[in-house]
Amino acid sequence: MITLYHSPQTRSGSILWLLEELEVPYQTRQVTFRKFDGTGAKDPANPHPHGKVPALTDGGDTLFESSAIALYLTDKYRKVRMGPAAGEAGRDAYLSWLAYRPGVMEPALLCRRFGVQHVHGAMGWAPAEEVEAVLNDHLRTRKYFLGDEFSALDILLGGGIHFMLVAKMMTETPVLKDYTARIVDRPAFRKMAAA
Amino acid sequence: MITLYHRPKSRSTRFLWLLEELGAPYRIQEVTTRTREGGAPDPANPHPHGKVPAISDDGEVVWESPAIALYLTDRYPTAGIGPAIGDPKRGAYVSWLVYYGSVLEPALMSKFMNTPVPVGTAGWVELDGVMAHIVKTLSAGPYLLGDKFSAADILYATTFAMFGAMPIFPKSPVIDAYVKRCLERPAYKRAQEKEAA
Repeated sequence: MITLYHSPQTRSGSILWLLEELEVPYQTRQVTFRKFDGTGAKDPANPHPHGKVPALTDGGDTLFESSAIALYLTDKYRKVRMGPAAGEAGRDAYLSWLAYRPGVMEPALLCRRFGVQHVHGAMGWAPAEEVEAVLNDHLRTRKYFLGDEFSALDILLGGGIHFMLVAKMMTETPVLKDYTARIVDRPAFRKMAAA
Repeated sequence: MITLYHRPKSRSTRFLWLLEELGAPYRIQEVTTRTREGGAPDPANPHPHGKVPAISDDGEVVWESPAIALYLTDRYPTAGIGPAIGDPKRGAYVSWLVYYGSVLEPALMSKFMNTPVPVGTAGWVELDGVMAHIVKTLSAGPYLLGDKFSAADILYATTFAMFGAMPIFPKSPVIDAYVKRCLERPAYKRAQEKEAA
């Protein structure tokens, strides 16, 4: 049985949404974590090395980091297809965008929010304005990240964009507004939001 | 045939090493990137931000180090340096690959830029906490996945080799021994020769 280590209104919501889309049985375990305002503490039951969410266990496997969990789940549970398998068309984009969310999109937007200057060549990401341009260009001509097929990318990156727009960490554009309206109009999203 | 979009002495150098480990046929296309000293992205580079590394493989285009490492080890499984789907180490493998880009890199930059990590908001934590976890893992190791070397070690060992000498980086004999162990591999030496050629 899959156990998701979860805290409401956090990044672990993406994995809850994905598990609902995949239609696989799972249980959630609510854990506390260290918050920005200094409250909260790591829960010793959480297997994440830094006591963050999400983490996930599945039989003998322990996973941490959203993109890793999403890739693992979509490769293993394929009753509902939520991403291209290894060797299939689209796997290149799938892996690249999965790595892009925590490696580029999140640090770029957080650095802008916290006033950290971008240093070309040193940072593994790009300036926030460029990230916004790349995302808008990509989604301008596509229904979803992979084209016509909804995938875990729309949960991880799309859910992230939705959150960043609400938090005013990203510039709202007609492209992003239409795209996020499309992805949140799903039963699995509503189930996650109500959890 | 794989094309590696490469700039010498950058984050793409490690993929020469990985390709040598895999015994995969490849060609190198040197590109320019923006650096602290200036420079411009090369229009031939398919990376959306003109960064390195990126690879193309008969029309497939992959960018971002964790994605490229996973793509290549899945594509060339016989080298045995990336646990396959269903392998008991697969979960740890993908977790460590992602952790490199999502936690280690931003934690290093926060330290380098001398800015506090917004804990609870950021996806990463302070460098000291990151290194404590890695040292603990490698002490049991000797590799990130236990007794077997994997492509995840290529990402981490090259990062420590690059940043290990900087004053911001916590000193650790475990890390020093790990870097030495990894960099002794023949494929690393071949990659160094390729880069120098």
